[in-house]
Amino acid sequence: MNPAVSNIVIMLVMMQLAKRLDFEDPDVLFYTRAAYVSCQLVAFAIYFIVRAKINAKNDLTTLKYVEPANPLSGDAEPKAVVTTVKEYDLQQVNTQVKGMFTGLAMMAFMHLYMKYTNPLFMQLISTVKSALESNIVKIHLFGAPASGDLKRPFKAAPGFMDALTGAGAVKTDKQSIEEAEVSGAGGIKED
Amino acid sequence: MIFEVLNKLLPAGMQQGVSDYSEFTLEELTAMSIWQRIAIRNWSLEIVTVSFIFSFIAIYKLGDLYNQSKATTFLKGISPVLKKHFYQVGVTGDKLYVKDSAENFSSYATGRTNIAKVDIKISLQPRQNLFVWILEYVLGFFTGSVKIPTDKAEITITPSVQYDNFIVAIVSKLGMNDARKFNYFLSLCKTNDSTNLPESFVYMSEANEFQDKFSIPELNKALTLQSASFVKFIAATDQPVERPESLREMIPQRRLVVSVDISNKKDDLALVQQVLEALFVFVDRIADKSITFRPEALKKVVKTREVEIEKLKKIQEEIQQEKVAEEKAQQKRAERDRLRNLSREEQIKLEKKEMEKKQKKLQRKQKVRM
Repeated sequence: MNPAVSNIVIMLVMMQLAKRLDFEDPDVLFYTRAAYVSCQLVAFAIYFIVRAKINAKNDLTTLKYVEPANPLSGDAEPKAVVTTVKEYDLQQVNTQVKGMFTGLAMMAFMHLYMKYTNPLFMQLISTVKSALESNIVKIHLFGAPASGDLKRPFKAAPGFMDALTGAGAVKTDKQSIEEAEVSGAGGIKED
Repeated sequence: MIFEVLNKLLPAGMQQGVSDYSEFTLEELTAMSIWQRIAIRNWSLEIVTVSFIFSFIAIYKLGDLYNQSKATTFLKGISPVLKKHFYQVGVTGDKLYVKDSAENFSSYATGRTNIAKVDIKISLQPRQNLFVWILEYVLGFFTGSVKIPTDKAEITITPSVQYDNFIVAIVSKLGMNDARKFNYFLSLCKTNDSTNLPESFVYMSEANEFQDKFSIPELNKALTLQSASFVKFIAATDQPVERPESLREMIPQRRLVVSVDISNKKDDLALVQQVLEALFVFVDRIADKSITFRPEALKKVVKTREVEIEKLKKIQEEIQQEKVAEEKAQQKRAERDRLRNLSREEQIKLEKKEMEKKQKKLQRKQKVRM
């Protein structure tokens, strides 16, 4: 099923369930918290296993592609990326983990500061679900072949902002790679 | 919690929590010894502060000493090959390095034919400052512009012989995108896999010609599959590390650079020495013309430079144009302000003058038409 569709289905089901639960009850509160934390831990464990697998495979095949210009972050020109399959995969995992941390921080704010328990319950499955649905987990945990939709670099689903900013997709054709590769885009100052 | 624990360490008088001198009469106070008088006040805040400062100093000193020993071991580890080739190794006759700060060290070697000098710059993790160290790790994980701190050394060999400009590098595949991102000269190069190198390295060069001649057998032999974990890149370049913003910064400075993460294992240090030795040999071969490059390859290099110079010129022109436009706008604004500040009569006069001018123009036009 399409992940977007299944997300909506899960949301609707969870909403109905949430209505039947009394979050004032300390027992319910405790079990909701415990379930949330354990779901996060499961997602984290998945990423950890995938990371270990990537490191074990140590696939050093060179991977070249061109990232589109992103006017919002100040890149005026498309940027060539020269990396290895291993590093690309690790980076993908890192992005996922970062997303998880952001979700955790949001939830900590909502639950601990604003005292809402409802979102905690609504988000129970979503981290694990998005972990299992991510390309990188499909390749390394389920052994799906890295071709077709799973061919690196992964195509990002066209987002809402892309249409507004006119950002293109990742390019992999030979000519644009060769052009961008020697364009002298590196050398940013570190401090 | 911590206050209670600390409080137990205090003298008895302080523990009782007597903290006000006004509870005692003058006679009582004068009758006390100095120690008794001191004990009246509650000193726990001061004790916490002072102990914090001392623990910070202790941590600073520990990190500082660790960094220093790391730098020393590395420099001593690679000095045999330098001593073999150079008259002077170290900043002065008896000093191996200068400590620029708790995390930056520099060393130097000179006195050899064909090579003007070797600069060694070591930058270590900020172990002396615990907070910065942790902060850099966290930021390094979450942002792209801060790098996770590593111990690294950059060895720059400046030849004293004349040769052509070109860029070529052998780059570790681990972190090669970062190498390209933080080194301008690498982002001018094309990346090529080659069977000459272990699987964990790639060539980055301006033309295949350079990579074939640069990786002399001595260099190829030194590199191993595992060494990519600490040898970041070995390069010959004439262009700067940071992206040039003026033509002056693009003036070629030919040099060979070895960038490594510091590893003080014996084998690793031996490998760095072999690499350095190979680079000295490379410079010698360039000097005695046993390595030369085909003119077509060199033409290609000149062309990349020209393209880059054009780009810079274009940017500078744009800046210039913006400046001119800005000045014009400023002048107009000043003129308008001046008019506004004039007295009423003068304004009317000016308006009349303008009207007359316009009318004259119109008349002239009509005349022409007739």
